Amino acid sequence: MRLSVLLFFTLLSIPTLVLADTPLDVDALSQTPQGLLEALDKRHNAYDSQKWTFEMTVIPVSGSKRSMKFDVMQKGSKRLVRFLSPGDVKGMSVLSKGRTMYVYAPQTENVRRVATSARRQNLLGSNFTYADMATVNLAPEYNATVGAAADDHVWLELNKKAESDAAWPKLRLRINKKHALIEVVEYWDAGKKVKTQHRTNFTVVGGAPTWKTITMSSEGGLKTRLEMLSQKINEPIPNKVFSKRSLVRGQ
Amino acid sequence: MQILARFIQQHSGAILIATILVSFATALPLMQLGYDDDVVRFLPTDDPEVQRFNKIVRQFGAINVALVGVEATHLYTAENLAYVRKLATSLKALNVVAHVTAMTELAVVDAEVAQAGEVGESVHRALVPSEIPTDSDALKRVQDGIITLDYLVGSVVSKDATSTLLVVQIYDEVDGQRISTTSAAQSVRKAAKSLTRPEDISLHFGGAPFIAEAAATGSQDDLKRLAPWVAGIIVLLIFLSLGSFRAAMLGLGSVGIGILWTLGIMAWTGFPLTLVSTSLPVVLVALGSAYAVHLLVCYLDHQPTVEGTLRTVGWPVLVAGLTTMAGFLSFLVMDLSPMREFGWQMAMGTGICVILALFVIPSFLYRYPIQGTRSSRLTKLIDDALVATGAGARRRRGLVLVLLVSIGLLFGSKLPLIETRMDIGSFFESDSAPAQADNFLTDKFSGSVFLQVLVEGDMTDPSILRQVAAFEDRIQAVNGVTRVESITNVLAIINAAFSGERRLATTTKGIKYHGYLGQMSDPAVSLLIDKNWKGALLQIALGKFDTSVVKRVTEEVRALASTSVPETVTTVESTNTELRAKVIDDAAERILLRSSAPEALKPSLIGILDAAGTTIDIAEIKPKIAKIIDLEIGEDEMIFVRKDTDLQAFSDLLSADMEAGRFTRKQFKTRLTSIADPEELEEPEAFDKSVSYLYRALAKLTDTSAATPIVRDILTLLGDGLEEAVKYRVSAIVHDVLAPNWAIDADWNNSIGAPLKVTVSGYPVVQEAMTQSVHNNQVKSLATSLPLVFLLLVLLFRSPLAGILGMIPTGLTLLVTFGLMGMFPSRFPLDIGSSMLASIALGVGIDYAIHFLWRYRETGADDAMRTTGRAIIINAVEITAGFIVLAAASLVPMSNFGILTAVTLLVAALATLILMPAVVELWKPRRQTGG
Repeated sequence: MRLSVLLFFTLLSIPTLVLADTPLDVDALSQTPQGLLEALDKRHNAYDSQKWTFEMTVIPVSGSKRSMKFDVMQKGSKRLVRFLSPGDVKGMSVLSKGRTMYVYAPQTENVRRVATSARRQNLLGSNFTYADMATVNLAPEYNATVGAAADDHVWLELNKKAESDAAWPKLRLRINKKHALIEVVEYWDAGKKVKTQHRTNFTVVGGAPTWKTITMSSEGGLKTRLEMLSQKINEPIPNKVFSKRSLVRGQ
Repeated sequence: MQILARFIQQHSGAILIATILVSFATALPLMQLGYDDDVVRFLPTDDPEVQRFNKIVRQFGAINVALVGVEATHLYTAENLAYVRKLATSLKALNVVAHVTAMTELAVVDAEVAQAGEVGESVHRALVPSEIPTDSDALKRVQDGIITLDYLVGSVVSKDATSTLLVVQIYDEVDGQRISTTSAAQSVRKAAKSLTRPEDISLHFGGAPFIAEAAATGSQDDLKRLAPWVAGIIVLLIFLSLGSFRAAMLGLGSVGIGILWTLGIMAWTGFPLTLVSTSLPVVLVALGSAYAVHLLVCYLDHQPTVEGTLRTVGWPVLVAGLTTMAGFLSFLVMDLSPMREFGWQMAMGTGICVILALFVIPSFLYRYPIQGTRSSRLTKLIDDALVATGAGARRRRGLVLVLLVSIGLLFGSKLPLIETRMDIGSFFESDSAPAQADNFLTDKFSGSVFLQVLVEGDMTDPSILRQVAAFEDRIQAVNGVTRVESITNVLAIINAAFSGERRLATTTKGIKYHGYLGQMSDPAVSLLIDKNWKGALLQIALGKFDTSVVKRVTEEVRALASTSVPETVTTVESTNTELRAKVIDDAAERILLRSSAPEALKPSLIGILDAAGTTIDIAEIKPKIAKIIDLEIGEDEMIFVRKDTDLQAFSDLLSADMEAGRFTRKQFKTRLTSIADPEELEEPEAFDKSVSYLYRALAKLTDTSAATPIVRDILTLLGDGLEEAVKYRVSAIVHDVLAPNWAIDADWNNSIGAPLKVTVSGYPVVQEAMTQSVHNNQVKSLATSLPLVFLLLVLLFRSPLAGILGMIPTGLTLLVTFGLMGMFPSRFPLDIGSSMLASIALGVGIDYAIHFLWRYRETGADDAMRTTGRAIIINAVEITAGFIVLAAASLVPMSNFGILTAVTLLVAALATLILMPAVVELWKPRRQTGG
């Protein structure tokens, strides 16, 4: 039996659920799959600032569920995650500025700067990895080809670009034609599907269409559900929030 | 018996049809016959060891861990690392697997940076990058980055860069259904083997689940491979001795049907096979075939009618069956539940074989008569030889009795030397795959056998955890302990990841935070701490399973628990001069234990610890102060300062404060306020947080500075060659001594403290308890069955003397069989297989004696030798020859069982045919005929 220290810091760069309310013609764009992917990326990041509150529930195959709540603030390439509950990790914060990341723990009054090399590490017992949470734009990392299509959806098959350091060599995306949104993401490694992300509960909040629920299911049975509790678009967030000083001060 | 014979003559067809129908009916549920591999179930639930074990299982859930070892010529190649990652992913995907700890899935804080105790900088890195490098320099860097981590070497990776271990935690149940350990291990093995692996990689499967799986599949494979030979030899010998293939098939067939019915009824009533009852078919063949053989010999040679046969041997067969059943029913006094189940199942099986011998065989013979070799030259020769043997034994009665007593004394004197071994690890030959896997795990890692020590108390309390760590210091030094895994070690490593200090956090908040992160990140932490943080489980690796090591280590750890772990823990300020000597003495003792240093160094150690003050080396820490101020205030703007602030001058001021011993939080805040931008002070709460953060970072320097020279002196005293983990621990012990508060036994200052309780358990302890229980139960069972059988013999023959005479073959057989085990204790230990021998010896010995005495009472000793004698020889030879085949079994207990059963049958036959004629005439019964 071996227990080892793992990467327990958390970079919860939440996959952006908010989508610019610009309709896309998926069928037309799918003629140029890379173009479709770029268009989807663009829809995800068309705001000055974004702020969400999430509840994450980890549902193991055996044993009890665990839930956490956290806020996420995003502005440009900067992102701050601050845990609200449970009490043991309340106040724990993760600041991401480009490729630099800080983790602050009020419990030990300590800030550590960390590198983003361990992207396949699961976050706090969930089956979301850093890579899953942090990757915002897929087009710069993957080459897209069109897969099977139906009346209501089309599959995009993404293979990692040679120069990319993306964590997953292959992804499969199912694009919902009606909403022009990604509704399923399959994660493939070494020729095997490792896990699947389903996005459900379509809604429009503050004029922005979005999915309220994301469920990540591993082949081994572990599930993690992310429930979006609130979403605020283009609210002013001062730049100083994204600093080490603010981490320590809880601002 | 005449009534029975008439009944059979009238209803033979119906009896045969009913037999066929019942056989079909019992065959149907046979598919549902399960296999229960739960070793813990062997012991009664009120057994203290079981209660302790179950308490741990209740508190911690699944503690079943399968170990998959990957061995290569050189592990750190791109191909091999990719394979390990793929293997971990495949195993993780299994629904029986809760978690896989593998080198390719781990990430750590860069040790070098953390150790330096620098502020604010650390690099988290995956041990094996997601993009596995292919050039040799990069691969060498990966290797160096892993092998330098002391806490991974010997547990996850081997020191020699050839091997890695995947620790697979198996669920106890999935969807409310209990998972069989055997089937879970099979799933893991199958998944691992289904992956294409690089040529130079070999896999090793170790740990309790794989051992249980290998034992279960090994016994089944052995039976599948050898059972046809056993059956074939038995049929051949019966055929040769009876001269009829049909008779041989009939004899063995009736036993086969008996086994089918018994297993069918077990399946129907919901009793699965266990490690014990898997031997039921072979034991039934050994015992059950005798009834058919006696009947068939009598039919073919002496009474070629059903009525005559039943009249001659019907009663002895029935009575012999009843006494054997009584012997097995004596198992009901045992406290091992699978042994009790085996007792009534064997009694039922014996009863069924007797019924089949008395009803089905005569019915078959009535409808399809068989012509035997009634007066062949061979049988006549055997008969004459038997009569002559009987006569010779009578003539040399004195010699025979001397022989009897001598043999009895010789073998009886060896009985105390019998070794009892119930560990299933000893099932395998040294060159078998499980034994090789065990060797691999012991050579490259810490072994596959773990004791579990439950420590109950508030594990979020830093003082309690310090006492747990102190207990571990002492356990580590116990001879035979190869490693101790515990939550204290995990928490210290997590703390190092955040603070650069590999020791426990000093506050409850810090402990809870580190613990939460650990639990959420690595589910395997649940093996070390329960959900409520009320119990910590120390996993103590013992290398290979060795009964003597397990017993000794268990006793020593229990002794340590009672002598060195306080019942209640409290904290006192380290200014307490009365307790200082005790605290330092305890620390010195633990440093010696952890470093395996000689006791003679203790006074020097105490001297170093006692001389330790809070003096700091300002020259050493001054540049560090400047660096912190520069980074945290200058670069990261933890507080905004006035434009004209000279940060270097400020850090010099702080250095002076530290040197003068006036560096307090209050003083520091005053200093900071003097350089802070006035706007900062408009948010006093936020400013205060910055003060706390900076003060903590700087104060840590003084702590470290005070401890550093002491640690350095101690390490110099202890000499070179200390493992990194030991150095960290020495440092942590020194920091505990220098801390503002000490965690001590509440008895030391007669105060009320937080409670602490220790329970030692684990699979090896349960197995050890089972070993003791098997030994005790063997004695208990014989103490019950021997008087019971004696009583039955006395009642049957209405003579206490006949009862004593009837016990002679059994007594001698038991003495010789068990004496042989005492003579060769390491070759023939009392194990799960040989624990069946007493019942076989009893059953066979009594059967032979009853048949002999019955015949003697009717027609005298010569006729008894002629008629019963040959049946005994046929039965003994057929079973001996059949069972000796099992000597070729791959499982050691199965092989021993075959050899010892063969010996038992031979001894029982010889004892009956040589001893009984010599002594039987002491009994002068009134001649009777019929039943």
